[in-house]
Amino acid sequence: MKYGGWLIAGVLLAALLVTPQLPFSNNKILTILIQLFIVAAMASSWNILAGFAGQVNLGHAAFFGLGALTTRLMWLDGYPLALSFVAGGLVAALFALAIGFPALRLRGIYFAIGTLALAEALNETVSNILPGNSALPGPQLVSYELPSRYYLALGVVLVVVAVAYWLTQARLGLGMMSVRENEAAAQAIGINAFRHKLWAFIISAFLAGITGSAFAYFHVSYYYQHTFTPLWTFDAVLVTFVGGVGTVAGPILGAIFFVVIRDVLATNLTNFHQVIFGVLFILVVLILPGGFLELWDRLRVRMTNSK
Amino acid sequence: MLHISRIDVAYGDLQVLWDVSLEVGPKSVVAMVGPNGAGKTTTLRAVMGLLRPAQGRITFMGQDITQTPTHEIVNMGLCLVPEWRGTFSTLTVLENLELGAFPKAARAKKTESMQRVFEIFPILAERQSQRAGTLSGGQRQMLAIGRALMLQPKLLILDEPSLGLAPLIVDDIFKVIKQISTEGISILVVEQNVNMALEIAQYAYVIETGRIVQHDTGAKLLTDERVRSAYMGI
Repeated sequence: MKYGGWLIAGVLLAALLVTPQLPFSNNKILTILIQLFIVAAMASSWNILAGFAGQVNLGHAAFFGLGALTTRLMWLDGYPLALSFVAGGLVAALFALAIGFPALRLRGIYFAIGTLALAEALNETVSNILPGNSALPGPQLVSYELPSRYYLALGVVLVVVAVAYWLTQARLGLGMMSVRENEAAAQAIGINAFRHKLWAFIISAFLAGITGSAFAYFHVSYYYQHTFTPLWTFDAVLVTFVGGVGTVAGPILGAIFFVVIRDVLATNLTNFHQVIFGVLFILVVLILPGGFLELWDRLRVRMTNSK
Repeated sequence: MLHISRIDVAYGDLQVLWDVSLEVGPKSVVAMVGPNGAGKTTTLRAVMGLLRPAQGRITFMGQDITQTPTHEIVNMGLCLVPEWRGTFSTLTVLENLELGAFPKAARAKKTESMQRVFEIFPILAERQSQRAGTLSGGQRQMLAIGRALMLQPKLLILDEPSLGLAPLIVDDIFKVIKQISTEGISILVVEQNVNMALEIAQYAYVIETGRIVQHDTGAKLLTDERVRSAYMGI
């Protein structure tokens, strides 16, 4: 990354760190930012498996849901938050490890369908076993405040982005990208394609799991099943593609755009943001396969050429 | 060093190889020639463990590799450059080469191998930060061979290195193949460009409809009546 990129990232991070302390900061701003962090972390974690390793997982919500469920149950049961939080990620990662062995033998569209089916099965199971909603009990409700939720969610998105960035620099990430580019060729030069896909799956699932944990800590009351609904997957997919699949900054950019549009429109036209995002998704796939980041690249090339 | 002994290979119910045997000795160039659909690529896929033979045995350096996973076979020093080249188009030339040195044994010698590849293919050094997808066909073939050399293989297998390349480029590629072989790397080359292949090969096999029908030294096959009429239109 160039000097300018680090500078922008540093300023942005400093601003996000002090936001809860600022005089004009209020619960609405914090809530929107927390939602932004969760969407960005979901998209970025999905991107690790799909964008880097080339495996389109349409069951990403399952890992988010497992992380949220684990953390919520443990935390409300009296376990320390930190432990419940890590456990959320670990349960999601273990689930990925278990289903990875059969699922990653499937290629392309079959992997996508397989993961979608698994996630839906889990979704149905959870809605049958835990049909009710989970509300914070009295003591937690009394001590509830937003800044700690804000910092946890911010921490999660920073971890996810840091891991994604590290992968672009590391051997493991380069191996994943070779599998995305051409699995047979990767194998022919001695890369263990299955192991790289499995690592990408486990890392992606762990990160989605702790994102779910942040969600579970954030919400006062929600239906258990809500975190397992496929919308979590599809939001992550849309956001990633609109921002730029296979890049570090793309999912973040897409998430900012998504949350802003959703918030602006939700106040006026309920759920209309989905129509806008759907249309945008189609446009991006057709004319801008690299997402917003490609637009930026093209502009930069044009600018340097015209000089 | 590579012994293929009497393998049968089938895709499902469809058998495509019958009783194929082939041998590559140390420091030699061996060619396998034959028409489209004869089973050349299938033989190579079986050697690399991408397909499993129903019958027969394949050994490399005295070790049975008939059931060994592909990446382990590669680790042993046997590397295939596929006919579709399989360079990673959105990655840079440098990244492609780095991936070539992925197996543990090759990793330690990465800088040294890279230097050697750049000596053999100066164009790759010039283009190292360019994406592989933007290279020409000939450059991509050089990159594919260069990437295989990053592994410092004992045996390099080339599947149709001349495919889709201009005649001048084909000459260049074959010169490089010869050069590589003088450096002590054995080469198994599969070709439809029979003339070229037989010229550089010490020994060659002719495969037709899944069977080895003839094998002899490259020089003898070049003058063989049957081979000349069937493959060179003479």
